[in-house]
Amino acid sequence: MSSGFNLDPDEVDKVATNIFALSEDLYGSMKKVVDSADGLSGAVDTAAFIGVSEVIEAVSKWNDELVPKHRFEIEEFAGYLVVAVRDTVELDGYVSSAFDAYAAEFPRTEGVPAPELPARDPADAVPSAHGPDIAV
Amino acid sequence: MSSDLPELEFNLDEAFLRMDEAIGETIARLPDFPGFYERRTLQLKCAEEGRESYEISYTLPEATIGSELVTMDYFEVLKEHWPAIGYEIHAERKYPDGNPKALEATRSDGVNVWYSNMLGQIVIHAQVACVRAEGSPVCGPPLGGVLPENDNHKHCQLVTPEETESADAIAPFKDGQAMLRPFEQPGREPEGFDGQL
Amino acid sequence: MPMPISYQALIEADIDALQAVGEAWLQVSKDLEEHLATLDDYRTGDLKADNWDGDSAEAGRTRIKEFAADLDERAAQARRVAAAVEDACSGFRTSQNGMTMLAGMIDKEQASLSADGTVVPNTAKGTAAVDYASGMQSQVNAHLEDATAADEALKAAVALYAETLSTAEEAVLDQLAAEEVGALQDLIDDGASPEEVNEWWNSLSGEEQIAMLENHPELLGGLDGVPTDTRDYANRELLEAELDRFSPTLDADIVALQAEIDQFNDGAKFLNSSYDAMTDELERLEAERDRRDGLNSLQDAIREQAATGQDFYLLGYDSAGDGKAIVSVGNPDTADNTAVYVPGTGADLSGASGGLLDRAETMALDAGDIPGSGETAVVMWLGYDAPDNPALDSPRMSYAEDASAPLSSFMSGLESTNADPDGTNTTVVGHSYGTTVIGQSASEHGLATDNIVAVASPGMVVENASELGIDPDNFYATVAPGDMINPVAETGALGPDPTDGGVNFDIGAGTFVDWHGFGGNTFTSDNMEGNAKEIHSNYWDEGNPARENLALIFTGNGDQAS
Repeated sequence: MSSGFNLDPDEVDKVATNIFALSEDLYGSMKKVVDSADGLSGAVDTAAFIGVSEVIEAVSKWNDELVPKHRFEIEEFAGYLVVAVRDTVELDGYVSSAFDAYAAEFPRTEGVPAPELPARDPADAVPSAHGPDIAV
Repeated sequence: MSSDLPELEFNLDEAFLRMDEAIGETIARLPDFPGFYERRTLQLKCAEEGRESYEISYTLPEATIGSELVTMDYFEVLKEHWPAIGYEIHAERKYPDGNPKALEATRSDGVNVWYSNMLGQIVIHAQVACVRAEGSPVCGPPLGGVLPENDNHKHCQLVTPEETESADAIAPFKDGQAMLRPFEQPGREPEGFDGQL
Repeated sequence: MPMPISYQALIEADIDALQAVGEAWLQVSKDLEEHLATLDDYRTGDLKADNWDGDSAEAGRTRIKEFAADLDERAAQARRVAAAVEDACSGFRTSQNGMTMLAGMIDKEQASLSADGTVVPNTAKGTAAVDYASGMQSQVNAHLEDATAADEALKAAVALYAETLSTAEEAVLDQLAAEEVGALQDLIDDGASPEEVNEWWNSLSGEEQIAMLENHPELLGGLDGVPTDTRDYANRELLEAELDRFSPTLDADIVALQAEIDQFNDGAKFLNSSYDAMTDELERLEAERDRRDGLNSLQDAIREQAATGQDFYLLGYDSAGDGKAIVSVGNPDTADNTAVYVPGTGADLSGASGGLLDRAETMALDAGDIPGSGETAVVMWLGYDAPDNPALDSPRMSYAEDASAPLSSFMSGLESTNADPDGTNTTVVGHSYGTTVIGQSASEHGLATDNIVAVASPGMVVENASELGIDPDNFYATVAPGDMINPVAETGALGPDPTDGGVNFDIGAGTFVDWHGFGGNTFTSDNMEGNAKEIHSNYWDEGNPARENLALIFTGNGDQAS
């Protein structure tokens, strides 16, 4: 198997950094929805307006579960790129230990947290011979 | 468009840069040029396998709609300017009332430029027909002060000129980018064409 | 059943706050679309195969494509949530304003409005006051019921689009759908008109509509009379589900089977009975792969926005045979102008997501340049099996006859779902054999359209524009000099040449037709210096004046076409 970049490693770093920044942008735009929804329960009687209550629930679900998942995927890929260009080795997949080594490549903007995925239901866990294979 | 036509001397990598360059050359001598409002791109089908046709369009700001300068005078300017820089004018069309509707010219490298008066709204298109679909289409920053939110470059990846060698090679912005100028007197006569940009 | 919204809750609700949340959802959708476009730029630009090669690179690009697709779906969901919030705000405001006006109108001598929304009669005024109060109470209740209906629709829409549907809520929707599906099936079985379908759809509550959409997209996706955004949602769901059904090992299976077949030498091919079975299986798998690839291309083509900034709407598709697809650039239900483009010979699913859709995008872009024309939606209608071969198939009428009723129904459906049918300028534009389809449909079933345009027509079945069911002044035709269609049109096999260029010979009768001209208007198009075959397909290319003229006609400026 062959693998390699025909791009200057700095260029790849730049691409990875830009892709990582998308995750932060996503956080920012979702935060605006959260902020605007914050005042909603005081502005509308959510016990009476069940649709508005559903909107609040949706904001919460997107902010806590769905958007972090996308952010995680984006950040994971940015890490994948950096690992690939640094090690110039063929990767079998995402390797969390390798990503951790390059975590400093993407300094997080103050106030923007890392995406925290909801804890898995233990019942859904699939035993893996190789242990966890994703970076957190 | 005919397969009998000679090969274009460039491929997809350069197509959008070339089109922007041709539009830059076109507007370079337009007096009191008001700048552009919007840039858009289009992909068109080519009958030949492995080739694609592309188009880039710039619209003039709303304030210019129907003005004599852009719907009449610019046609006259381009009839002189295009041949002077080696373009071949190949089409001129008029509305039923005789007012100018469109003027088209081809640059020697095959880029077609189309100055179109759509009931007063001016759109300048540049087109490359059946370019080899090799490489990745990139485009430079838009001309004429188009704001980022009005730059709809769906078919090309935006790069700054220093990011690509080919961009440097054909230097679409070597004479400076057309700047947005206030359009305060839409109907006035051109005062002269030299040094306006 | 939830309690209806109370008078107090409705009056005190700050709808602006809800509106702001809706706008924030819309912004999330736009941001997501921007992000996925950026990711796609990287995939095809900096991280393309020339710059990054190997298996890891391939896996990386696949990964980007996958999560860009996820983001695209999420963007669509956010946009739909935003639209649902917007609709609800509009409903709430109408009810709030109605209630406020009602409160001001109440004759204080007769009755008074209490804080809980009860209209209390002034009993001193006798039974007349009681009757009056009862009438007013009915109006108060009507506003509260409207607000409650808008709220329930909001809840169902958000639950579906934002994926907050609980198991219990899903059961409620399942029940609602089960109650309604019979009525819809009856309508379909009885051949209900698009208008009747639309009436049925509008008779459903918002919650019932969502229930039907969630449970029966297969019935709604291609049903004329169902609103465009609903059909789009249903068809995208169906497309995704159909793509999921293809075997993930399809490509590998083909490679493996091909390798097995390659093992046979010429002699063994005849001696081994399994050879034929294996080649048949390979053919079947390859056909399946082509079908999957065609559907993938369609899905990719309608992802993101058009070059015009408009959204794509998938109004129908079918992967059987050559494939069919109906895709709109912009929403025809709300656009100021709608053009329906009927392609001709050779049109298939791959064209529907490629060159044919590019033409629709081009026409929408050009029309958008006409000042003051508003939005123009352009529908690429490949809702029929187009002839494959210009020489062998195109002279046949059977394709047009089969397409006639579906096109007519589609146009009636658009009229029924249009927010302002009288204020919308509608055009049906055909290219090549597509014009024959239009002629057949207009003369046989009628087309709900203001204008008809024939580009490079081989004949439109009818003898005169007046037989198309529109004012002949709103008929336009063009053909470029040198187009290969000219000699075909001159035979008159599919009717006289609508550009009046033919000899107009009636083959059946063996005589020349007593010709007074086709009627309508003609406009200019250029041959663009191509050969006869190229000319036939370059009407949308690089500066062809046909493009300007089509834009003028679509926007109600046909008198300026020349």
